[in-house]
Amino acid sequence: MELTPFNESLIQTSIMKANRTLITCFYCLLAWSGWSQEQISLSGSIESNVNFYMRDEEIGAANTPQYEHQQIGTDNWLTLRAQLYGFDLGVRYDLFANSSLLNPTDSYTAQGLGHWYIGKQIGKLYIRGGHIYDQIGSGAIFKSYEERALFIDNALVGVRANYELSPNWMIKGMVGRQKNIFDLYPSFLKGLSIEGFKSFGESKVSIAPGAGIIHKTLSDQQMDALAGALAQYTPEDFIPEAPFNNIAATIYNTLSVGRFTWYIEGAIKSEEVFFDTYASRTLWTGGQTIGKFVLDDGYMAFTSLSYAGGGLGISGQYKRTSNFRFRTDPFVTLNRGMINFLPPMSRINTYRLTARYSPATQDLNEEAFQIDVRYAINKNLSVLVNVSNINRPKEEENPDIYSEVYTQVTWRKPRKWTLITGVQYQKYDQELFEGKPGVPPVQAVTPYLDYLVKLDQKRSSRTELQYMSTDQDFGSWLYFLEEFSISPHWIFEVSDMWNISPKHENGAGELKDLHFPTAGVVYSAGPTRYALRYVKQVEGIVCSGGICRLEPAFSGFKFNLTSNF
Amino acid sequence: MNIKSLMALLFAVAILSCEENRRMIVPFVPEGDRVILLEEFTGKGCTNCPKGSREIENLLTLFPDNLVAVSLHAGFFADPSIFPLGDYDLRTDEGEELIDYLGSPIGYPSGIVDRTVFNGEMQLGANAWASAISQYLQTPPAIDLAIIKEYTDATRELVVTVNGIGKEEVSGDITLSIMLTESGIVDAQDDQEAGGIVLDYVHKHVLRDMMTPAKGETIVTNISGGQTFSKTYTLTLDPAWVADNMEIVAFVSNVNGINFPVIQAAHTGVKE
Repeated sequence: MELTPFNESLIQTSIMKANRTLITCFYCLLAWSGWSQEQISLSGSIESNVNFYMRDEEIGAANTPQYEHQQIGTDNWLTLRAQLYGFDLGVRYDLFANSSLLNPTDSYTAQGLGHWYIGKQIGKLYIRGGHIYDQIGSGAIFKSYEERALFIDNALVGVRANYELSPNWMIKGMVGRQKNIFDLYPSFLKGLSIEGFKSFGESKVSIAPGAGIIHKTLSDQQMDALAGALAQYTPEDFIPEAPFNNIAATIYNTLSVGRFTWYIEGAIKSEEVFFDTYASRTLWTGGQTIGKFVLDDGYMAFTSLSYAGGGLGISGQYKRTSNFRFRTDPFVTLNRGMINFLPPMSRINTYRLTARYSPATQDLNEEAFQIDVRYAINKNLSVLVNVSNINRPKEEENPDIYSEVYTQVTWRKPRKWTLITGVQYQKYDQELFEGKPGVPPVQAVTPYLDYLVKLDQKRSSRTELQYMSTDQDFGSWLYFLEEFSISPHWIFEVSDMWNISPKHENGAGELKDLHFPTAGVVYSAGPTRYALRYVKQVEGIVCSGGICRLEPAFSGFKFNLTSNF
Repeated sequence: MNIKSLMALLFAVAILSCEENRRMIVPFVPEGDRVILLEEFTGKGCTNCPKGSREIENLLTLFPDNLVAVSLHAGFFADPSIFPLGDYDLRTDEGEELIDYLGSPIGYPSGIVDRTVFNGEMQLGANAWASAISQYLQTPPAIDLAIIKEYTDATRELVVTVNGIGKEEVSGDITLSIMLTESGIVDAQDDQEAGGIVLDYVHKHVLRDMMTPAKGETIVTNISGGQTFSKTYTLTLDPAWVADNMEIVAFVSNVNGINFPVIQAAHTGVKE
C-alpha cells in the first residue's frame, strides 16, 4: 500500500521535529559531558516486535495491506536515560513500519522521537520538562501513561514541578498539552495536586491524604469545530453555549489501621460538552439516532476496604461513575485523548479463556462492586473467591452488564509442583461491550487447570487446560498449553485454542471447529529476551463509543526482543 | 498552615474562581454557492454505519443546496468474504483505490469532507461532519462548475460534460473527478440501531463507478479568474443499475504536493 499524502505529511513533519529535538538533546549531552569531565550514567531499554504475516482466509487473517503485500510489520521503542550533575535526561525513539497498532485494518508507518525529558533537582524542588508520565490519586482525573499493546501513549508534554513541603508532604504542579502520537492535541492542561502521609505514634494508624485538580482549556480551533457541530443540532438537542474551560477535581485518602486499609476517593468534573454515546438525538429528517454532544457535569466515587492477616485477605471495592468522560478533545473516541483513567472493577484475568471476555470501563454510567477473598489454609494450600458485578443504574432496560464469579485453589508441593485450578462463571453483555446488535449476553462457565512441575533443578514443565462452555458468540472453546523450561535460558511452548462447539458461521456460512495453534521458543540471556512464535489468533470486533474497530485475526510469526542495558 | 500550603490553596482557588465567556452557539444557516463533498466510508458489515447514513440524510436536509454525499463501500467492513451479507458486493475498484489514496479510517463510519484536514484529522467521525461542512461553506468556491448530461435510455449511454470557470487564481494542478452514485439499493446491512441485520435496508449514494480515474484527471495546471475549461466523458450504464436513482457527482481538487482539497462540487440526476 502506498503512503497516503495525508499520512506522509504527518510523517515528514514528525521526522523534522524529532530530528531537531534529538540533535539538540544530543549536543546538550555531549556538551555537559565535556564540561564536567564527569562520567555520564547511562541506561536504556529496547523493545522490538516484528510480525510476519501469513494469509489465512479461513480464520479471517487477510485483506489488510500486511497480508496482501507488505508481509512484515514492526514496532520498536528504544529508550535511553542519562544522569549527570543532578540532571535527568531521557529520550525514546519510536519506529513503526507497516504496523497494525494504530489501525488494525490498515498499515501505519512513522518514526521519530516519541518521548524525551529533562529533569533537575533544585533543593526541595524537582522540575521536569518534556514528556511526563504521572497520575493524581488513582488516576480518576489525570493519568498519563504508556500501554504499548493498545497504542496508548498519552504523555503530558510540558513542565512539571514537584516541591517537598516537608518529608511527608509533596505538592505538584504541571502544565502542558497531551501527546498525539508524534504531535500534540491543541487543548491546554494545567494540574495541581498535594499528597501527604501522617502516622499516629505507635498506634499503627496512618493516613495518606491527597487532593488534585486538573484544568482544561479547549483551543479556539477545537471550540470552532465543536461550535460548528452544535450549530447544526435541532431545537430538541440544541446547546446554546459551550464552555472553553472545565475542571476535574479529586480528593482521596488511605487510612491504615492495623490490618485494615481503607481507600476512598471522590472526584467531580465541572460542566463541559462531551459526546454521550447513548443519548438519543433528533435529526432534521425527523428520525432519531443514538449519540450526541451534551452539556453536563459528572462525578466518580471509588472506595476499597481490605484486610490482610492470619492467612486471610479480604478486599471489597465499590465504584460509581456518572458522566465522567474526560478527554483532551471532544471529538476523539476509542482510546485516544484520554486524560483520566477509571480503574476496571472486574478481576484482571490472565488465562487465555478466562480473559476472553473483559468488560470495558463505562465512563458515562456505571455502578460496580468487587469482593475478593483469599485464605491460606496452610502453607501449601490456599483458596480464592472473587465476585464482581457491573451495572448501569440509569438504564431501565438491561442494567446488569457484567457479573463474574471466579474461584481458585492453589496447592503446592514445595520444590516439586504447583497446581492451580478453579472455575469461572461470567455473564457478559456482548451487545454493549462489543457493539454487536441483538446478540444475547454471553454466559460462560470455564473450568481451568494450571500444573507446574519441577523436573529437576533446571527443568520444569507447565500445563494449562481450559474449557469454556457457552452457547453464545463463537460457542465453546478448549485450550491446551504445554510449556517446557530449561532455566535460565530456554522456554518452549505449544498451545491450541480449539473452537470445539462452534456457533459462529464463517464467511461461507459454515460452522467449522477451527483450531488456533501457537508454537514458540523464548531465549533469555541476562536482561535480554528473544521470543519467536508461530501464532494463529482468533479475530474479534470491538466497538466503543459508536465506533467499531477490528482486533484482527492473526496468522504468521511474531518475533519479540526486549532488553535493558 | 505554612505559607507554601497557603499559596497552593490560593492558586487552586484562583483557578476555580476564574470566570469565562462561553462560546455562544448560533444556529448555522447555509448560504452562498459553495457545494461541499462528503465522502463516507462504509460497509454492509459495519453495524454503526447506518448511523452515519442517517447523519448524511440529516445533513442533506440541513444543507440541501450546498452538500453532495457519496458512500464508498470499501475496506474491511465492505468485504463480503468477511461479512457475507445480502446479495450484492457494493465495492468498486475506484472505492478501494480511494481508500488507499485518502487513508484508511481508524473506525467506521468515517467521512472525509472536501478532502481537507479538519481539526487535525482527515478521516472524521460522523459527529464532526457538520462542523467541517459549515466551516468550509464560509469560503466561496474558487472555481464554478456546471454539469451538462445526456442520457439515452435505449443504449444506456451517458454523456457528461463538466464546464468550469475560475473565479480567482489557483496554483497547482486542478483535477476533475466524476462519480456515479445510486440510491435505493435494497440489500442487507448490519444496523445496531435497528437491532441487527436488516435484510431490506435501503442503501443510498452508493458509488457505482467513475467516469474519470479514481484520483481524478488533471485538466489544467494553474487557473486564473475567468479562465474556463470543459471536459466530456461517456459511459454506458451497467444494466443492473437503476438510472432513475442515479446521480452524477463532479468535483475539482487543487492538487499541490501532498494536499488535494476539493474546491467545488456539483451534482445532478442522471435522468432528472
